[in-house]
Amino acid sequence: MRYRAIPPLREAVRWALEDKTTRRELRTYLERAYAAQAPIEEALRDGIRDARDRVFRSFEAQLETLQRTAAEAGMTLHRAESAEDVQSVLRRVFEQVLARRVVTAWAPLIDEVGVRDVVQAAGASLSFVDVGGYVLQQTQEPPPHPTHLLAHMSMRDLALVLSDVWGQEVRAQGEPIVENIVSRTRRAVASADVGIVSASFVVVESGHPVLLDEEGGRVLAATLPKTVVVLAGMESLVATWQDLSLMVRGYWQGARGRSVPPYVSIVPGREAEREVHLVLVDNGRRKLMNSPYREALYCLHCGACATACPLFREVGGQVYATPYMGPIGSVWASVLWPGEHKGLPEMSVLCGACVSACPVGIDIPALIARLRAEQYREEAEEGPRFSSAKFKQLLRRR
Amino acid sequence: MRVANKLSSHENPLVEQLIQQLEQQGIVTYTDETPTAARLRFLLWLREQHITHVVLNSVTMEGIPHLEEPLEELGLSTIEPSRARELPPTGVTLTEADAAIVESGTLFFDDSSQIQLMPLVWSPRLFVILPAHRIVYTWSAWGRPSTARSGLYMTGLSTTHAVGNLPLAGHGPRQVYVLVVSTEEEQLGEGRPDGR
Repeated sequence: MRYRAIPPLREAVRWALEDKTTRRELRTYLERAYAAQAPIEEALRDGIRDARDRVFRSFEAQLETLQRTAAEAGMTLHRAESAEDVQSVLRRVFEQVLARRVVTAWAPLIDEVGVRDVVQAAGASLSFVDVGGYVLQQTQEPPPHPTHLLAHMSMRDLALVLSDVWGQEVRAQGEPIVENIVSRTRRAVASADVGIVSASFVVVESGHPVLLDEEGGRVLAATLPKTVVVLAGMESLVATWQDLSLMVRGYWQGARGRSVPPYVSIVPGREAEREVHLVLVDNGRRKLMNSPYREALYCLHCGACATACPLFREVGGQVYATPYMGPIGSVWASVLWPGEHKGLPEMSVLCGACVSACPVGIDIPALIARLRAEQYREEAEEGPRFSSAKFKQLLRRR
Repeated sequence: MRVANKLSSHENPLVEQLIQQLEQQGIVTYTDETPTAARLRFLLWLREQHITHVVLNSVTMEGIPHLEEPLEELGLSTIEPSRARELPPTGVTLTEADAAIVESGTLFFDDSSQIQLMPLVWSPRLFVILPAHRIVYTWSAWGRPSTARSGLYMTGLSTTHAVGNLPLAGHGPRQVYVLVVSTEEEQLGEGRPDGR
């Protein structure tokens, strides 16, 4: 999946490097976030890896169990092979409830499956209830980081953007800005027909999706509307509640350097006037699972590798043109959508900072090196990179 | 498990440590020896805070029973949990926690005990009653009920770091109060740090 507005990688990187103001904001923000990252305890990392191994070793059995438990928990389970399948589930839901107002909170999966396009095509309005998602919706740009959505904006930039959107002067002060956004997004969620959220995890043994949230907007989007659609990538499955507690700690340490988020919401199922759809999304993940890059599927999407990456801190995530950005994102995008993101494996200096930061200890540099080798091989098969005249010219310069 | 009769923090390290955790997170805490004292404290608190509306989010409350009548006597309006959206800025949601985990200062609200999750995040203020015997030290001691239940784990106040990486208040209640109350069957949870 590729954000259409972003130019090809080389050009996007050049732009990012030339935009010194944004670059400074991004670097300052992410360096602060990097300093706040606590080292991941080995026992926690081992526990998470073990839990991941168990799920992916018995994946078909896990899916079968989930089919039963999700129904018992009051969820209507849908299996979506592709983004188009997700879109068709959403269309059906919108038609059933005559949806006019939809709320969501930003997550990579929301953009991956094209939620905005479906809502727009259905003639409904879409409001983001998280502060970052709300602002990005106004600026119509992708986030610069998977979990720090406004890392590229100074307070002054933010005030200018919001002054323009709201048609009134907004002072560059964090508290009133956030208060104003929260009050607007609460109005949106209170009147929404449908809430669409992305689950961080789905507990197979009970069939419950789990949301991690620090602001509370995601929890509201999953509890206030009468119809709730929970999207979950296949990698979000965890076998047991015991495993979930490891995942939550790992995710939040990676994302925020703290052990537990303010809200961990176990989404309730169907009630008298409430319908909950759980959409399990493949969209290339099975291909990833059966490839030499399987380890990438262990990712919790916490963004720790992106925060730790010295190269990422310079250029940010927008240049990746995909919702899966940073070191692990370049692996995901290259395998899931080959051809669309050819240069991404070059976006690494292979320093290994990402491995130390990753709560799962995924050997990202090894995966990237493998991707590079594959790409070089493909290019070699396609023909020489330089014409012989250019090569001679280069030799003369030495 | 062991039975304890005292709530005072120096005699009950679980309560003491939980209170420390909660207060570090910006939550205001109280302790009371009996449900009657807890009820009186809550009613007094309502008057001090000039509260006008209350969402009673737990149908039966072990830690502070029989509240409807005194609320009516105080002239306060009670609101159904499903209508918590209508709560004015002078309102509060009163709810009972199903567990508290000391090591992270986490409160758990189980929605199968007829608690609705939405008012816990929607209300401007949240007042939580916590029967002391529901406190456990570790996550592993809490474990998870084998029956499938949904609910909300709350650790500290709602926050956003979206703007300038500064911690600013998000959607959730700006003020959270926790009243730890000793009930007749009070027991300390398992997994105490001293191993008793």
